[in-house]
Parts: sequence; C-alpha cells; structure tokens
Amino acid sequence: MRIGRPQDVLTGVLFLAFGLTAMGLALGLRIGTAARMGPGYFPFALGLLLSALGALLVVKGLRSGPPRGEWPALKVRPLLIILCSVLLFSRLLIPLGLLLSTAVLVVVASLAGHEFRLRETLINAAALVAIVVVLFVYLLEFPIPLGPSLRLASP
Amino acid sequence: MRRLRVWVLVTLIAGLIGIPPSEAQEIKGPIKIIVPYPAGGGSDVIARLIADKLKDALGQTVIVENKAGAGGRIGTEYAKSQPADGSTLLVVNPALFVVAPVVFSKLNYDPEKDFVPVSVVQTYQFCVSVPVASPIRNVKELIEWIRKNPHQANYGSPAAGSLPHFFGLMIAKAAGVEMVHSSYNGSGPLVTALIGNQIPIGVDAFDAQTAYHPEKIRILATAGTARKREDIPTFKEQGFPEIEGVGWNAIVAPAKTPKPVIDKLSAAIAKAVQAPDVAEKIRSLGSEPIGSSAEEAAALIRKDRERWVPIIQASGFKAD
Amino acid sequence: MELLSNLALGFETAVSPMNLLYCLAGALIGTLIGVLPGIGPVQTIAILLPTTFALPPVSALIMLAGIYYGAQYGGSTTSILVNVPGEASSVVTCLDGHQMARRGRGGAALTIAALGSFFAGCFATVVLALLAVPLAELAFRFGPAEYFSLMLFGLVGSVVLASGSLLKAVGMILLGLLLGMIGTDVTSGAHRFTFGVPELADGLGFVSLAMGLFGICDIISSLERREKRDILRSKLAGFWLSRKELKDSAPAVLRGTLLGSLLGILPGGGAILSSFTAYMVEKKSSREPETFGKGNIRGVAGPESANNAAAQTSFVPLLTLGIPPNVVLAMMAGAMMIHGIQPGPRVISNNPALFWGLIASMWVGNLMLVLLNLPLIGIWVRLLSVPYRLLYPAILVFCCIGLYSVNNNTFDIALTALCGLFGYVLHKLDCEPAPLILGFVLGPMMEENLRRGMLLSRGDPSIFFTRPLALLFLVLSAALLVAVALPGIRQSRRRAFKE
Repeated sequence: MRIGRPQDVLTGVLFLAFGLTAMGLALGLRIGTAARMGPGYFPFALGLLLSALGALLVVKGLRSGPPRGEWPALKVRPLLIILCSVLLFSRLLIPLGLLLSTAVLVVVASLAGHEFRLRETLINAAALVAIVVVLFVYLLEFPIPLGPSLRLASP
Repeated sequence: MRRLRVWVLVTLIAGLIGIPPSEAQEIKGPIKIIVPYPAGGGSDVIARLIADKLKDALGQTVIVENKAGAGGRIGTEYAKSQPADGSTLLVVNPALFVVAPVVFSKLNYDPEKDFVPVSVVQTYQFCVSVPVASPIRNVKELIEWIRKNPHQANYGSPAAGSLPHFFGLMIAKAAGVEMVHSSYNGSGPLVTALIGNQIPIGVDAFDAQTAYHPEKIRILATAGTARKREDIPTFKEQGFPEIEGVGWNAIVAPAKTPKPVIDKLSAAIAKAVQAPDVAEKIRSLGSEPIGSSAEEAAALIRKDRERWVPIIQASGFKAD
Repeated sequence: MELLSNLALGFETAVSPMNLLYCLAGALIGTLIGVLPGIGPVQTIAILLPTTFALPPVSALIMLAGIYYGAQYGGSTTSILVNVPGEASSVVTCLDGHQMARRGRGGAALTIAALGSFFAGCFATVVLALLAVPLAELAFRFGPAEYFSLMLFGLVGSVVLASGSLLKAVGMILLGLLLGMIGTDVTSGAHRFTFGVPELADGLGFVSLAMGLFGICDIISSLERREKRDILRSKLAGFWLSRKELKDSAPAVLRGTLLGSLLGILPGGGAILSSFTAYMVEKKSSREPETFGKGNIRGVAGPESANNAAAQTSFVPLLTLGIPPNVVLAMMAGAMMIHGIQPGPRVISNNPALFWGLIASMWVGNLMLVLLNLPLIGIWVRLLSVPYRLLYPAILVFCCIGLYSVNNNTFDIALTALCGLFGYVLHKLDCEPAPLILGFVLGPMMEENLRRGMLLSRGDPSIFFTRPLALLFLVLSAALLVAVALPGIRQSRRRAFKE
C-alpha cells in the first residue's frame, strides 16, 4: 500500500504524540470536577481533542489513493549549524562575555551558508561586535557582561 | 564552629582576590541589588530608588540587576551563590521568604540558612473590599452575608498562593465561615472585576484597591494595627483582633556576608529609605517607608512565619 | 466646544519646545528598540523609568508614551523585513508583509504600515478624546463568561490565518493552547508541564516561541532552499504605493482602525485580538482570499492599523479608570504614581493639562513617527540589499541579545533554538505557525476565565448562554465556524470529484 499523503500522516503522528503526552502528564495533576476544575482538567481535554485530530489525520492520510505530496526532504547542515550557533551563544555569553560570544556566533553561523569566505566573515563579525557593543552597552546600557568574567567560579 | 568556617572562607576568598582581610569591611563595589522580578514592577522601583541613594552613601557604583523568573525563585537562588562580601543584595518579600518554603516541596534556597536580613524597606497593608453597589458596609455584615449566601461567597485575590489569598482564609477562619477563592491575574483585573460586580469580595493590598477607582470600591477594613486611612476602621476595631498582617519588602544578603558589613549596609539603606524624597516616593506608591535595622528585619520575618505558616498549611495549598 | 478648548490646552502643553523634544526622544528610542528584535517597550521603559523621575510629569509621560507607540511602528519594520515578530500583534504582519518584501514590495509594505498606523493613531486619539469615559464602562461588562466567549471567537477566527488544511490549522490552535499551559497555573498556582525546570515556571516565553517559529526557522529554511534572496534588491522599485495597492489598502486601513479602536479598550486580550481580527476580516471579505499569505497588501494594511489604533485606545482604561490593561501601561501607571498623580477618573478634572497634553502629544508623536519613518524606509529597504550570507548572522546576533535582555537569562536563548527546531518540523509538515501563536497567547486567559466562570456559578454552565454579550460571541463563533469550514469542505469535495 502506498501512503496517500505522507505529510498528513506525519502531522497526525506529531499531534498524537503531543496529545497523548499532554493527557498523560495532565493525569498527574488534579483533574477536579466541572465546577472546580483542577489544573489538569483543561490540558486533559485539549490533549484528548488533539489526539483525536491526530488520529483522524493519520487515517485520512493512510487511506490508499493516488499519492499526493511527497515525504518532506531534509537538509541537515543548515539546521544543525544554525541551532548549534544559537546554543553556543547561550552557553558562552556568561563565561566569555558579549564580545567573544558574538564573534563566535557570527563565525559559526556563517558556516551554514553556501559559500564561506573567511575574510568576509571575520570582517562581518568585527563590524557586528562593534555595532552591538555601541548599541547595547553604551547607548541602551543593558546589563550584559562585556568580557570574560574574572569572578572565581561559584562553588 | 560555623562562624569560624565562615571567616576562614571569607579570608580565603579575600586572599584569593588579593584584598587583605582587615579591609573586608570596606565593601568592594560595584554593589549589585538583585531584583528577582522583571524591571518595572514594585520591587524594581524600590531597588532603583534605593540604588540612587546608596551610591552616594557608600561611594560605590550600585547597579540593579533584574533576574526574573519562577515568581522570584530563580533570582533568589541566583543571589545565594553570589559573592558574600557585601556586594550582593537581594530584594525579597513574604511570598519568597514565608510562603514559598511551605508550598514548594523542592525549593532551591533556604531563607534562613542561605540569607541574612539587612533591612525592611517598606510595609503595606491588606484590606477587604466590596463593590460600591454591594449592601455590605462592615466586617460584621460581611460575615452575615457570607453565612446567608454560601453559593455566592466568593472572594478574589491577585494571585494563587499570594499573601492576600491566605489573608482571605485568615478572615474566613476567624469568622468561622467558608469562602471560595478565585485568583485573578494581578491587582488590575481583580479591581476591574470588583467594580464591574463580577466578584462580590476582594482581598488585596490596600493601595492596589484604592489607587484605581476609589468611588466604585468600598473598603470594609484594613489589616494593620493602626488605621491606614482615617475613615476606615481596622479589623481589630471591628471585633476581630486575630485578623492582622502586613506585606513587606526587605533587603537581604547571602548568609556568609560578615556582620560588620551587614550593619554598614543596614545603616546606609535605612538612611536612604528615610531620605525625604525617597520616603515621599514610597508613600506615593502606597507603602510605609521603614528602613529598619538587621535585627528588626529578622524579627519581622520570624513573626510572619509564625503568623502565616499554620494558615498556609491548613489550606493544603501546594504549588508543585 | 468644550472639547475644542480642551484640545487647545492640550496642544499648548504638547508643543512646548521641551515637550516636543521629549516626544521626539521617545519616538526615536521607541522606533530603535522596536526595530531590534526581542527588545520591547517593557524593558526599555523599565530602564528609562528612573531617569524620568527628574522630569516634570507631563514630559515624562509624553516620552514614555512616545516609546510605547514608537515601538509599535518599529516592530512592524522587523516583521516585514526579516520575518521576526517581536510581539504577538506583529505576528500577523509577518504573514503578508514579509512575503511582500520577498517580492520586492517591502518598501510598499513599510509605507502602508506607516501610513495606516498614522491614520489609525489619529483616529483613535480622537476616539480617546471624545468617548473615553463611556467606552471605559464596556470593560466592566466583561465577566468570565464574556471573556471566555470572546477568546473562543478569536480562536475560531484564527483558523483563517492559515491558508492550508483546515484540520492542520485546528491542530495548531490546540497545540498552541497546550503550549500555553506550560508554567504556573493562574487559578491554582500549581506548576504544569515544567519538567522541574524552574525557568519554565513562568511559562514558555512568547518572544522565544515567536522568534523560534518565525525568525530562526525562516533563516534555516532560506539557507536550505539555496534561495537567492539577494534578488530582493533587484526590484527596490521605490516605496510608493501603486494605484491598485492604494485602492486596496485604503478601506482595509479604515476597517482595521475601527476594529482596533474598539478592541483596544478591553483589558488583557483586546489589543492582541485586534490585529488578528483585522486580518480575519480582510481575508474573509476579500474576493481572492487565496492571495493572502502570499503578499496581499490588505493583509498588512488592516492589521497594522488595528494594532496601532488599539495601542492608543488601550490608554482608555488607564486614564479613565486607572486600570492598566497591559504591562507597558502598568509601568506608566507606576510612573504617574511616582509623580504623585493617581491614575483614574480624577486625572481629567485634577490635571487637565496632563490629560489633554498627553492626548495631544499622541497626535504629535504619530505625526513625528510618520515623518521619521517614511524617509527611513529607503534605508531599511536598502538593508535588504546586503547579501544574505552577511545579513542572517546579524539577524541571529540581534535576536540572541534581545532574548537575553528579556530576563537577563541565557535559558531563553537555548529555548529559542529548541523552538526553532520545532518550527522547522512544522514547516516541513506544512503546518502554519500563526494559529499556534494565537492559541498560545489566548489559551491561559481562556482557561482562567472558563474555570473562574464555572467556579463562581458553582458548576452551572448556563452563565455562558444567559448573559447576552457572552451568548453573542458564542453565536458569532458558531457562525464563523460554519463560514470557515464550508469553503474547505466544498473545495475538498470538488477536488475529490476531479480525481
């Protein structure tokens, strides 16, 4: 059997997963009664609706018929690099400060592009660091550490 | 023994950073006042008012750092591990220091062990109010009305697990009646609901109620030992001496901060709070400027624990 | 006539050189922070609040108000140019605005956003001056039942935000509602779905979610497509509107303005609903709804006007009742109190110069903003001519710093990466994120009001049907549901027929 609409099936599976998880977690909370709804009442109902919808999508999508739509194509490189660059920034900002972590973010993120030119990237990084420092630290006076924190690591 | 360890540690840290221990009393700036709430809220305004004055009094840069999240618990936990040399201060309130230890099974800080009080900055009163269209005029009539209308006996508070929430329970307990609690998402929505007669009874900080639309809300009683406003009697005056309590904001420091430093900070904060312009601003926000000593702050926190913990426990309220 | 003399007093106050200067300063700062993704008026006003203590109250408020609506203007710029919405109301602007930018009509989108906002701002200011007091009473009629049905109406309507499958759109709303449940439950104070992470106790941050689903996801999918986004610059083609665009957008601006002026008054969800509702109205009333989401100028003109009108009329509850309807205005209320002014009905009688001065300055501020922003459009559009390989790291940098500044916490940045991944999955599955965002924003309020309503009525659901306003919204929701579902059903039947 060929799957008619793979995207619908996958969406249905996603909805089912979220719905069932929500129901499971909501059962751990107090459900209560209609008059005194506990914190679990509303999420449980939502989870139920979402699961039902997900199941419907799966059934509709699986029904054999002329295939329409394709399995979504994935390209892992830009996805991973962009996400990693953002995660790196969040990890590095506090120990390294704004200057270094901004530079790291720009350089790493630039690797995700189709063409990577080192010189250009470095100039871009330097320019952005300068803009960011002037804008956020001097003009808007946001409390962001500029350089590496010299404080001893907290125990 | 404990003291000794503290001093050894302080000396060690001071030595590492290169300050002779004798100078440990001198507070190394910049001083950080950590506000565990977003910028712009009540605690934040207080911190910024004081920061301005402390700058001059201590001759150090004083910065306010907002570390918001989880109803203040993230900032509080963060503050406990900051340097305990007088350069870290934290703005706290009863929700963090009295209520949270009871209602959270896993709390990442201990108000008694991780912090030492520095000064109470301000106090404010609670009150109970009704829409102006309501027939209820005083606390006695309120209790009677609740007895007669159990199906409508609802009271609103600005948040679940807030002191006004428990203050409502305190009233119900003292009067031997039952009220259903409905929490609103802050004082503004509660007042709107009261004015619109959507909820019959409101419990909140006095100023949160009167600041808004005074002629559409009737305050039945305030909860301090003395009257907050001339024409509104206290609960005590209306025959309920056990209904009493105030809200407060205090400044604390990490527990290992040396006592001489604490005293120095207390004095500076007290002076800042009592400065005429700051006191005036605090009053205009509806609170009483205090500026207490470290000992008075500790006593207030202890007394509040004795007052509220049994009520919170009896309510069965749990946050996690 | 009294109005005229009042307005004269107001303008006298507002156009004093000093107040003009503060108005300009506020508008400039507001535009700047509005353009920076993730940094909103809340943080900026909080930081600037202490510096305004030294100013006279009127000047302080004029400057703060300038920041507030300046940020609204600036926010739409980022949405249109780089598809990063800074707040709930600009999510809608992304849908068609960014598509216009991709087709080389970014200049036109920015122009209609500025002009529409200006018109809406002027109109709403008049509404504020004329009808503030009677309109304020409207808010009191909204009890839990009314709020719940209004939110339901908004949610049903948000299906229209998506242009694809109806079932998926409904699923996205439900998913958004569920994500909105994360955090501390308002009614019981209990933690839900926080997995023991304290940072989640305040809920999933809106900025993290919106930036992940729109901004980050957009960058990833652009890189993936190997798309030459640089073609954007080939057709800068000026920023004036074509005759057809003007004809299309003028009535949309008018409708958006009216809707926004009305909904802005409701505390809480009002301002958020306004831009969503305006979009819904435009799409449903259009003869070619299929062009929405692909760069229809009405999809920018209506919501942008609505959102600016709502920003102005949201002052109604503050100035007439003293009740701040959102966080920004709560801080303005704080600023007023620090200056010894009790916000509330007595402001008009006790401080007429302040009240009317503030209103007049809103008009002046809007004029300044439009004069300031029209020339800037040229610069903004030129920004798009920067090669994309240099532009996207810059977008990431500004997003990340903006995210940090929300709570001074790096957790939000990491969370955004996760939301970006989630957005990418949704994108691959052809699930549009806009309905999810509305569900996310309205979910907690909807649940809170449903539970409060049932609690106060001791479990009697009839309150939702016996109160006229609540019933009205329920009926409207049902009608809308039919209107939304019918074309979809008909279409799929036609498709099935063809096969």
